[in-house]
Amino acid sequence: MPDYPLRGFRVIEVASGEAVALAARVMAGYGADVIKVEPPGGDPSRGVGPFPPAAVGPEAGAAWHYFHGGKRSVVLDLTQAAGRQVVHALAGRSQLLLTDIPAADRDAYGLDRAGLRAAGPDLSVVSVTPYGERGPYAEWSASEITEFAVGGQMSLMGDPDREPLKAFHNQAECQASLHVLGAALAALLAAARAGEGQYVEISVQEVQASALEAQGPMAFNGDELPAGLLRMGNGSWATWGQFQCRDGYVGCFVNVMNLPSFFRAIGHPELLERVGDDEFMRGECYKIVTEWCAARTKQEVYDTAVEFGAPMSYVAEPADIIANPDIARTGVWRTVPHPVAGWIRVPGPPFRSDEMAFDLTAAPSLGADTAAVLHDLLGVAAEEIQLLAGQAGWAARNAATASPAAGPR
Amino acid sequence: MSTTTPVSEDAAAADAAPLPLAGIRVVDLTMVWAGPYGTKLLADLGAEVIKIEGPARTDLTRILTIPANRDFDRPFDASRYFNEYNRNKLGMAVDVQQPAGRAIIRELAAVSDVLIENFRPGVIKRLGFGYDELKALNPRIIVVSLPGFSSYPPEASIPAYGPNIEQMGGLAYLNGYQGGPPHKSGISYGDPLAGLGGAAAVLLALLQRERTGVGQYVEVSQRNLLLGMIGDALVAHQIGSPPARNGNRSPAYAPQGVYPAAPARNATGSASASGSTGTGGSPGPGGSEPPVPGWLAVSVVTDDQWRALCQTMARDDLAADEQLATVVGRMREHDRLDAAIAGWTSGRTADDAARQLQAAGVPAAPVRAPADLPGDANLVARDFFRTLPHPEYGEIRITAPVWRFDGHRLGVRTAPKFGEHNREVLAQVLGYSADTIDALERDGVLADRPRQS
Repeated sequence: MPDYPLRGFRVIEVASGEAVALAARVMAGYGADVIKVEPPGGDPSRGVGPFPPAAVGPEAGAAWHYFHGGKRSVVLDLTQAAGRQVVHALAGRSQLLLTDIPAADRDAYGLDRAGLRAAGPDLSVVSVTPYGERGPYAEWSASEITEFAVGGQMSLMGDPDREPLKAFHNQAECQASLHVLGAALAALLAAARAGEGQYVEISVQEVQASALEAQGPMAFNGDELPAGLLRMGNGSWATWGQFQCRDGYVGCFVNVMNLPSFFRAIGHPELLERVGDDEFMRGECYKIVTEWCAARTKQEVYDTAVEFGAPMSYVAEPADIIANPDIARTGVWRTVPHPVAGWIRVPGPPFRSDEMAFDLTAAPSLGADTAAVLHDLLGVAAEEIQLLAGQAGWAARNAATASPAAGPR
Repeated sequence: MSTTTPVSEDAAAADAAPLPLAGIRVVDLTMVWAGPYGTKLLADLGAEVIKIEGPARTDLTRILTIPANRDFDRPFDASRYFNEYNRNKLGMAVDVQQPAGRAIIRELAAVSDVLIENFRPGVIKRLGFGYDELKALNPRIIVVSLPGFSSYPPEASIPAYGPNIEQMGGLAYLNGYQGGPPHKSGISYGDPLAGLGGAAAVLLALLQRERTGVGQYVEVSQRNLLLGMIGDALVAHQIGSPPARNGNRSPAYAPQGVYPAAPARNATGSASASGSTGTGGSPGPGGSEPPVPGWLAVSVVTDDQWRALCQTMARDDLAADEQLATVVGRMREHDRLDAAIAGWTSGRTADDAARQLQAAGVPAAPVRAPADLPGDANLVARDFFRTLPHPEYGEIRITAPVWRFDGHRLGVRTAPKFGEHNREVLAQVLGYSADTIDALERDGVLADRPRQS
């Protein structure tokens, strides 16, 4: 019988970036009670689309809906003492706090190490920032493009004869979210063993630099990178590249052991013996592969890959993915309600296991859980909540209100 | 370059407390990048990771990235790639084609917490290490598999590499220059994600085991992890606003882009890309290579930042242009703004430009090439690169653990030589006698050199 692995754990999220958001979402899905602390104007991702056509609003955007599924929303103004007191009280009743607030602002928001340790000796903290909490760039402003640039991955992506290319949306933050998740789980294990909360610090620049495949280890040691390991666009080798097909694009990415099946798949087993001939591979063979792909649909190329066991693939679009029965069969989808579009599919459990249950509620409305959390967890009486609401300015203001914690990233 | 005191964990506490994952034993059958990247994360925190290769089954990366112009006693120990991702692990070479070799794996699994593998689906079951068999030996064992897609046919049977999985997982479609075709990532992007997912799955299963007392089997699909990285695009599609391929631009802010910068000169006088200071990367002979331009990434997120950018570039005309005062106007004029910014960045190195813009509060950073990173001031100050002794090189440079735990200075130990810890593990973990181990070596069940190397 599956159970929620994180049932009984409580996580406080004080952050505005995707690294914390996505890690916390996964933890919520696996059963943790994730409380997202939002500033009075709401998390900045509420203002980031895309939005449904003609339905812009703080509950309807794709970013908010995806990254914050499964969580509860509590509005607190951490620039006010009352707000900081509440977050400390919550910390005292939680096992984990995840934050990306800039190091320079931690004290002002009551999120300094000493304050949190006093509030919750059992609380573990994972802190993720673009350059780390300490270092010469610790106070640098960052955004999704700078994060992808400064850790090395951007230099390897894009065409060699123009500017390098950023990946879709904020992949640096999304990669980092898996680090935040792993570090948080490791912290919980270590905390149980040590009898006290752990503090883990992560730099997104280091996340990026730790994942530079062969190029990193070579270059770090002064080895020159061969041309094939520099920025090379979409690849233009017969056996390593993206090709146009009848209804989109496909990929042939063939390693040595797959060459026989690949050449059989494209109907030219005799070409296997010519792979050592560079001129042939760049010229005539490249043309053969290009034409083979151009004559077929994405599905036909995939079916051939299956038939021959060859490493070919197609560039899947969102519609392909959402409708794909092979993907659905793995159990990765969950359906959640969207306020405008109704029931939609979202990626759910990143792991498949008979033992690990995973479920998601829709992303919360702004401050929807403030009263319940304060009352149920902290025993704050209803009248007092009203009073705090006045002091802390919880009335949901226009989302354009700038909140210091809200630097969009 | 400023040489501040290295920013690292409290060394005094280093050996007092056990490391965060001390006492967790992992049998690591993974190879190449995805699996080893994941087990690296566990080893870095003190887990006992026993990496198992075979006499005829060496990690593919051992034959890659070996410098060509040098003589090595054991070249298969000299792979840069292997050394980076397999540090902090113990290494064995066991022939699982022989019954005695398979017995060793099963005996290790019987006294381990985790077995992790990235064979093609079905292989470990054929070898006798499937979950059902192992849990009968050890109900607490956690087995993690890392298929590219899943263990379900038909996709279980397709060989899949990072670029294939990135296509099937939807990211390639969303990547690309504005107005251009889909684009592959510069690295096998899904691989480190799969490794991260594998590590997280291990840790989550360990947490669950605290409550249940038993292990479990977990499958971590690289493709499914990639879906998680583009979830907002999948939502956008379903709510009627399919995402666009924006390249370096932002759908919400302007201007944003990557702009050419002047080449930098390092201490030897030769040009290096992106203008990082310090001694890192590969200095060529002075002046003999054509200068490589740097690149600067810039994004203006608020109207205040726009004014700060104009001021830094000494472009009062742009600051005064009413049309550019809001993001809507700037988006319309993006091409013109790109030209203006490029005109400014071209006249200075990326590092100088970044410093100036950061002083004004504008998000900007140089595009670092891998060779520039050892000289990056922030990484140096944080002691991100460690120098380790190495039997073939004398010394080798490896990155530091990314998950920095207070109270621990996480060390880095050189990656294992091929078969280096065969005897140690068999004696200390399984209690084999020296005679027994000698016999296994004679029979080729153990090896300390790859066959036919």
